[in-house]
Amino acid sequence: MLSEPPSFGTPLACRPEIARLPPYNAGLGTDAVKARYGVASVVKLGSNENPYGPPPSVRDALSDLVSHVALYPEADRPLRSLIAGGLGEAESRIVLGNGSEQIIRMIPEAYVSPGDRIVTVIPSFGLHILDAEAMGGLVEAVPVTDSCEFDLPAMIEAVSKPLRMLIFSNPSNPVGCTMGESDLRALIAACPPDCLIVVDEAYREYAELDPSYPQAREILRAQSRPWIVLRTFSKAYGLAGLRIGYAVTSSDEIARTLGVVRDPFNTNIAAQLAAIGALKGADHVRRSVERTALDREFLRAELETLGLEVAPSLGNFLFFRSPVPSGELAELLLRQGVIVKPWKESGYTDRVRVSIGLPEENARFLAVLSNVLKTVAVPETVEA
Amino acid sequence: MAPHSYLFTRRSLGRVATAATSLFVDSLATSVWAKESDVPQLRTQNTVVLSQNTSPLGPCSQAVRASDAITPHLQHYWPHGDELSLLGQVASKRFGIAQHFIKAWCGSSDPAFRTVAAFTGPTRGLVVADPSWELIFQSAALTRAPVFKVPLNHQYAHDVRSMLAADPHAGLYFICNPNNPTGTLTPHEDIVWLLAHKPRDAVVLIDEAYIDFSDAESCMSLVEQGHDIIVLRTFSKIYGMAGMRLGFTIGRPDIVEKLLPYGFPDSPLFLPMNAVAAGMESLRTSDLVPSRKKANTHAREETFAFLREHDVAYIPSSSNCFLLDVRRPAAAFAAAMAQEDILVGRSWPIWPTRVRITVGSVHEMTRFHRALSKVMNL
Repeated sequence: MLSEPPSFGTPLACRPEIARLPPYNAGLGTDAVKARYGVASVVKLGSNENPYGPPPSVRDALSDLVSHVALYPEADRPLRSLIAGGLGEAESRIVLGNGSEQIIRMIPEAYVSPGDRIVTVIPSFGLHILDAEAMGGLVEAVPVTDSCEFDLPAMIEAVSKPLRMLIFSNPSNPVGCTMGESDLRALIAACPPDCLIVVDEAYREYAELDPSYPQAREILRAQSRPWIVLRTFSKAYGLAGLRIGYAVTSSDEIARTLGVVRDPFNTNIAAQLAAIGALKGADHVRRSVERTALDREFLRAELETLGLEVAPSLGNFLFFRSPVPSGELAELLLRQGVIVKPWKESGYTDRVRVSIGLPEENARFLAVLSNVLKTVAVPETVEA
Repeated sequence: MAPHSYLFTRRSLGRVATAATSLFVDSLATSVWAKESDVPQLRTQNTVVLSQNTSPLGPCSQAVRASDAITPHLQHYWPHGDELSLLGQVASKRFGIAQHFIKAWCGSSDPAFRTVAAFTGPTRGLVVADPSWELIFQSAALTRAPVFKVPLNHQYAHDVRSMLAADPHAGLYFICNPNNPTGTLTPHEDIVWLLAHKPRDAVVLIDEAYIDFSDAESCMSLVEQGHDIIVLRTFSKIYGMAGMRLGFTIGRPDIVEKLLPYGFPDSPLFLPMNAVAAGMESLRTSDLVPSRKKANTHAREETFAFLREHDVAYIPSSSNCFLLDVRRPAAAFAAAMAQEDILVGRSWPIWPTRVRITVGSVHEMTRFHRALSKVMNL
């Protein structure tokens, strides 16, 4: 048995669309951080999870899991029906995915051909760009403004040319900024009539506490372009560990087309059952979301007190500028048992995303960060 | 109507998924993945499901307990952070292969699809046996790769020499061993021959989803020897966890990393946590595979004896499925069996009167025998 990867000869060629993409880069998990840095406990604020967990109704929903496990999870209709009923949409227009990221992959598989033009924003949820590029799409990513807001004029200019797809998160991940109703209407109106519009609402449950957060589906339904709205159970519903998200589509035809490119049996039965349970736990979700929003604003104020520039956010996270390269700051935090997400997209490598955790986790993050900032040498070229 | 909850399967609903718009989606819509069975599959509590090649036993008790224990921590992508590493360690010990060759995925369909996406294209073909697992064809439609289907040989093994001749410049050669749907084996030396003679930049993908039911030699040793090969394993078959979605690739890191950029960079790390916990305990349960293999062999051979006794043709299998010659269009047979509350599998275009039958428990196969006697007038 080999103990180390052997050395091989000529590397295998893969498709050029794949070869151009970056290799994956996984962060460290809780136990790995403990082992590497010798810390007794770890605060995990890198993945935008709900620290309050899923609603108690999930446990009941999973009580009979074992009787469903041996067969492939093909009967997704009960969950789709429940989602559709809650949204007032047709069941035939709901598509389930192994997390919404799988649907983000399915969309370009179904609709993007080599050379198609795609518009998104930067910084962004990486796969909005990667999955489109993997299918040969040409992606134009419009930067957010210096004040970390969507740059509406630039986005309108970008979508005014021939375009296959517009895709972006609202609220933005990782920035947290939100596009309001009038801006969203203007952006959609500027898109070509046959452009597919995809709005990723992974953090919707947090954002909709703010009355300015738009009802994207209502806006999209009032116009004729095809559209998809993405939702997930990984954030506010606390089911990140089970993998389930869904798409609401503008037509049966789009749902059928996504169904064709879907992996067989793509959503596991535990996730389906748990999602049904989670939808019955609205009170728990609402309470955890409201508490997280309060703690977000508290944390924002504290970060600003430390002299840090913090982006506006309606999500369960904050995006702030680090006085040193973000990877360096993240490493310093890791050494004291705090996991955050240093951003790595070009032009944003001085930014860090931190999730809103339990109050005591946020407090520990602040204490550790405060100490770390006292020790780092701030480069003269970087504004603190 | 009886007080049972009737469920339409996703596949049967998916049969209507044919009105796609773009050219290549149209080609997908005609793939067999648009349907699972030749008849809509209504299911009751009493239905015998012999259509999915899944285990009649479900997950082992240790796996069930592990899955339950993780439930309070589901809000985290990785509750302890090191589950992936632990799963790799356990799999390494179970398979006897170094951990760096092993990567976990949501079932084996996902990495199978990604392998096709990474290594085929308009000028880099895909070569498969006929009949074999159809997901591969669907995936090739996405990359617009030419597909070459090569009939199994007279021993129902992959005809590796004809497969190479079909496209000497292919990007990917696919071998399912034991094969789905025939349950037949391809000699290890034939796979070695293909690896020795394939184009320099081609990959051989080996699906070993059913290998634990058989005595076949795994190709994992060929991975360790440095060959351009990816081996697929799944928890959906002998481990009884089809509903949970967990599988592995075993391959050289420099090959498997080609599968990763496609899709979200971290997505192979985003696995259902209960599946990971249950999978680990399944691998640690040392008597699971031998005892289930023995039970499957017993039920399968009893059925084969029954078929021989009644002069019904079948293809001898080393797996948990086999092809039965039903002497009529497969859809008519499936519909008749469904009337007896027995769900059977699909047929393949190359053999339209042969239907795939999953080997269930002895009790389930006894019911299958009774229904078959009635439907085929044995």
